[in-house]
Amino acid sequence: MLFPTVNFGIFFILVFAAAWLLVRHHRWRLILLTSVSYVFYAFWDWRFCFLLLFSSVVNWYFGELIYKSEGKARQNLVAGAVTVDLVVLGFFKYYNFFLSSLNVTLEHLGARHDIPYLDIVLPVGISFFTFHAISYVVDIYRKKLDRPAPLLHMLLYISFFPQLVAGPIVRASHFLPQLEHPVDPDDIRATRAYLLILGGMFKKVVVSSFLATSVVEPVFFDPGSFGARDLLLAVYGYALQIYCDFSAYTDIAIGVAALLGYRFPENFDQPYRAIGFRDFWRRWHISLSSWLRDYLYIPLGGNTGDWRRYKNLMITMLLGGLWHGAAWNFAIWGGIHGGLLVAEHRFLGEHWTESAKSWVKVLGTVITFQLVCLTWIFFRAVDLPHALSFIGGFSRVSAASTLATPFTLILISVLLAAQFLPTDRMAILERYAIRMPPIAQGAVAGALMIAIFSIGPSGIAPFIYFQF
Amino acid sequence: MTQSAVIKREIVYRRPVEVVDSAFPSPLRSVSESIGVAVVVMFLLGSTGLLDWANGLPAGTTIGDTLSNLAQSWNDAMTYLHLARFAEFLRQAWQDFQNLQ
Repeated sequence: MLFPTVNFGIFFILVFAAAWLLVRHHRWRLILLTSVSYVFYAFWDWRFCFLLLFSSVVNWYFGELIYKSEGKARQNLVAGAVTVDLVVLGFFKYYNFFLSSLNVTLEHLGARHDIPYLDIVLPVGISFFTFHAISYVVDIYRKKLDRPAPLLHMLLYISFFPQLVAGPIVRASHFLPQLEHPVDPDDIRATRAYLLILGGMFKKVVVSSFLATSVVEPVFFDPGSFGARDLLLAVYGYALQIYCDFSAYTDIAIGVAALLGYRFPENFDQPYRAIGFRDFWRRWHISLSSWLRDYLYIPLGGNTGDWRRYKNLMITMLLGGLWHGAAWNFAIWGGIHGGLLVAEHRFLGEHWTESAKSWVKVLGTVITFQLVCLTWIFFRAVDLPHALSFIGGFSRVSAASTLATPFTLILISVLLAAQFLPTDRMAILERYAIRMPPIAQGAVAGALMIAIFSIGPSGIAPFIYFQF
Repeated sequence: MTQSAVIKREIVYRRPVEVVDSAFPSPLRSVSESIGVAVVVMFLLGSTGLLDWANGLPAGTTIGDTLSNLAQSWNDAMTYLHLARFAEFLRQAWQDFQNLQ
């Protein structure tokens, strides 16, 4: 069930009404939200509801054991829980990739052993709910949670439908305390939620869909047929498409959760205005980058010594790349980001952006954006040969553009300019919206929603991050 | 600095930022009103989209056929009242904008 559909609209209205009717019955409200989250997940494939249940119960049980243990046993238990989570993730996501790589290696060594592949269907959102589960056991281990969660809270934390299939990655220590007390019916951040949902719908239904079908897909499908100008347009188009697509999902998720009385962390903060790669990763998919920092980079040793820091950065970014998918182009994408982060640390130092002059910051932003776009080629291309063919196509500088219409150029320019809007733009908009009475707010929101769906293409493609 | 001290410092340093943290709170009553009105407006102005959705439901089932008939009648009524033109006008205007040369 995709967010920008009538089905989800009906589902959400029913859930909203039922959840607030049960506001004085806290336990029943949580049972309701858990049940509807499983229904939401079952729309993709009901069989994987058992996987969701398994992940929740196993990690909840490990959490109980970790809480009661001390010393080495505690460490072994958290290692055991994380291993179980990674084995499940690895089986569904990486098993065939591993076999494919093994077969190729054996063939190169002259030993032909075609190990048969398994017909494995990737459960939607497995990377996200696995990270939620790991967050729970590690937060108990680190005593970021005062006590283990009741099973019901754990079931809801892992399955809560707004963030279930594509994030943001909400940490256990951030979300579970919100379930301990009834939500306040006089404290619903509704106007901000409407703005987030409407903005997300516009980004997904109108912008992302247009860029995908008109610019990105034709070029990435057959880069050899296009000249340098169209290739450049497609790269910029994809940079904006993936931003609009993914940030749309998380904005809608944050808005939907807010309407139910819960708070999710921010996931994007105008990433293409970043000055350098450290800054970029503080603005792009913030919930993943901060998760990787706190649950992988720091346990690896973090910043203890220059070379150890560089090694840990590379490992973290390579694994971050592979988290997106079992393919070498994701590993290369992560590797390039890791290499650029290391280079920034090594040659520019940790705090260079704070003391840099204005023109250096502008230059840093331009260079960072171009390099990020370069890495998107590896991320988007179906495989490495396609990515290299794409890059090789930039030599066809004299070929005329077939895709650069005034509308496309205006759209890309406006979207890039929007990255430099004030950081408190949402609060400014909200101050205007909140002056309207609730009925007027509803009327405007309803009309804008219809406007968005009227100008968008018919049929909505799944969000890009569903495949991860 | 020990490793645990490093962990503590780094994790305390950057807590997740909530987008809705600084937002204005609204009471349930006014939120219900605004959502209710939004749904009514969407029914009034989005009858064509509603019909498309209903026609996509499995045909030959009682629910699918009933909803499809209801959506058709509703869309006919909204067309008669010229409310369905809102979406059509926007679609055409956006299409013209896209076709600018």
